[in-house]
Amino acid sequence: MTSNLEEPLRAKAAELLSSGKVDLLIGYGRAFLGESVRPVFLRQDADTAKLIWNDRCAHNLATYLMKEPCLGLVKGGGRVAVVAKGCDIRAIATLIQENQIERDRVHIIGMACSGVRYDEDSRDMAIKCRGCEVQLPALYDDLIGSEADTGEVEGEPREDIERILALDRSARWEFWTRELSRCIKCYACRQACPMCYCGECITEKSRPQWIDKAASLKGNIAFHYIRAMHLAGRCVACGECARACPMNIPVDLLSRFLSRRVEEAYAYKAGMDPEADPFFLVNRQDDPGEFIR
Amino acid sequence: MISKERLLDAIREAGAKDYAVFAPVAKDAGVMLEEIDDPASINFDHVLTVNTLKDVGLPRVEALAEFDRDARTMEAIRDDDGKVLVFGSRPCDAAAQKILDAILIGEITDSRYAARRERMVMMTLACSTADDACFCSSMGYGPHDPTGSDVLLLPKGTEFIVRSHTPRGEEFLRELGMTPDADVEGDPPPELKRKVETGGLKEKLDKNFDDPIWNSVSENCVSCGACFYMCPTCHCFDVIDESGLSRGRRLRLWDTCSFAGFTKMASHQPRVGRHARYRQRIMHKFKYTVDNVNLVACVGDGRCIRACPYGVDLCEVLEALVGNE
Repeated sequence: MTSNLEEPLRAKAAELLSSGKVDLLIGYGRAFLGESVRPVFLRQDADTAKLIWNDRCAHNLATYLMKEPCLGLVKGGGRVAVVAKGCDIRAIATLIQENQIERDRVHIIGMACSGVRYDEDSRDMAIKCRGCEVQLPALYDDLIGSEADTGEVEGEPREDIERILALDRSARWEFWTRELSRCIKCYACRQACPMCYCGECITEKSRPQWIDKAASLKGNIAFHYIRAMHLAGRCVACGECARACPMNIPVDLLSRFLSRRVEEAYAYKAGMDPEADPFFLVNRQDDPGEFIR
Repeated sequence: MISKERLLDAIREAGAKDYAVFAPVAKDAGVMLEEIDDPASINFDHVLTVNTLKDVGLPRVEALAEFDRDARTMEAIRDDDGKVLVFGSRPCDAAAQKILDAILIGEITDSRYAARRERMVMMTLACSTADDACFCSSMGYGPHDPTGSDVLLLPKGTEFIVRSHTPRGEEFLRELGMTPDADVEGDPPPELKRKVETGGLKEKLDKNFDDPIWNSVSENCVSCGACFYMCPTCHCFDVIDESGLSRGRRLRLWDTCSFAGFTKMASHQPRVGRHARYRQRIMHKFKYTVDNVNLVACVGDGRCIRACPYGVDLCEVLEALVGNE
């Protein structure tokens, strides 16, 4: 389904590229398979006809900000424009908070969003979109669309975390054993994650080898638990890790749950305010945890 | 010709004759090729299993030896030596096995892989459907291609035509009291929407190592290992020790040139940047393996295209490389 935001998006992109305000624009374009969509990298205004915007634009393009060619471009004083939904913008805000990218190096083209679908056969919006609070982005340089373009997200409310919490300990263990035993450690989840930008991941270190490298249940649990801990208060629930997983493992459950606990305990929600101190750097006198005060 | 019911009986009988049976079954990840107990669980209507035959011949975690530092002992872990029936994998996956054989068995032989292949009977199920990512015919195979299969089952209506393509296949059919069919035509193979013309590709790859095109074709790549690990012919591995203070195991694990830490154990990863690592993937499949064993290490199963979270499409990359002046 083509959106009426496609034309204004293309016009804005052409303006940004032709005026030289940005050197690179990352957006969505058409892929070969069915009506699927993939990221495109544009450098001149003539290319903007490749840009599309529809409900298949699920990818969080902020992940490219921490990779080449963006890193080199930004380092050399260039600017990158990113077509971003509200959830993606939370990731960009977190990167700004964590001093990974300067605010004026990234040009955010915020899209008014009415939810995305992963599966072309499915009418339902992706589960990550249920209960979305950022359909209309708050942080942007340009906003494409308005409140009127943020239709209600259809489908059952998201209760996947509640369903796991309702299980007793042994059933929960059984659930995670079943899910994580099939991980092949291709690290698609980590590479897709805009927040996983470490130069070298602890899971791949072998001198010393901190955790089991093997894609065995033990090694898999170690990897996914460490990743979830590193994402506590940083995960913006964009769902890219789970979407990227070729083995269909709902890995986002772990990091989303930890971010939710942070929200409950500290009233801190990742990526809502680019000016805020990152969660892990804050030491407050009224911290609810006694050991840290 | 054999009906599905009689085919399942034959698989049951193979199980009774001590074959470990691997077959496609519906799982959380999709249809997976796994060891089964009950042939009734076999899935027939999928395009392709999510995993490949590597899970049989080159598993993602393989224990090679056990050691005890205090006792100063190290002992090789022996593999099972039972017979294995791989039932219902597709012709592309069978063809991939022939490619792995050419690479891993020869002047330098991977003895564990070779021993497993020796015990393996491939009873392949020819395709009656294909999806948008299938391009086997462009790689010189096809939905009904017998390459790598000991026995090939060709769909005809609700039944199957049985064809034996190797002495091992003939012996296996005899063992199960089945007879191959001659002079019967099966249903026509499905039409593939996807076609890629790779004429002249090798000559291009012989010269374009430093071409800027590698940057543009790899731009979407995020350097994960999904396409590598899903690929039926990617076979790189790492060997590590996993141990407590004294006792432990030496393991062989899948590894991929896509990872920034690849080959660091041998000093460093020489491929800096995603474009260099993606280039290695293409070079290895379409040039180095051709140089070494005269085979292209791609069967057109399309798993890399399906698995890529960011839409890197091998067919388009190949077209871009062929068309690049």
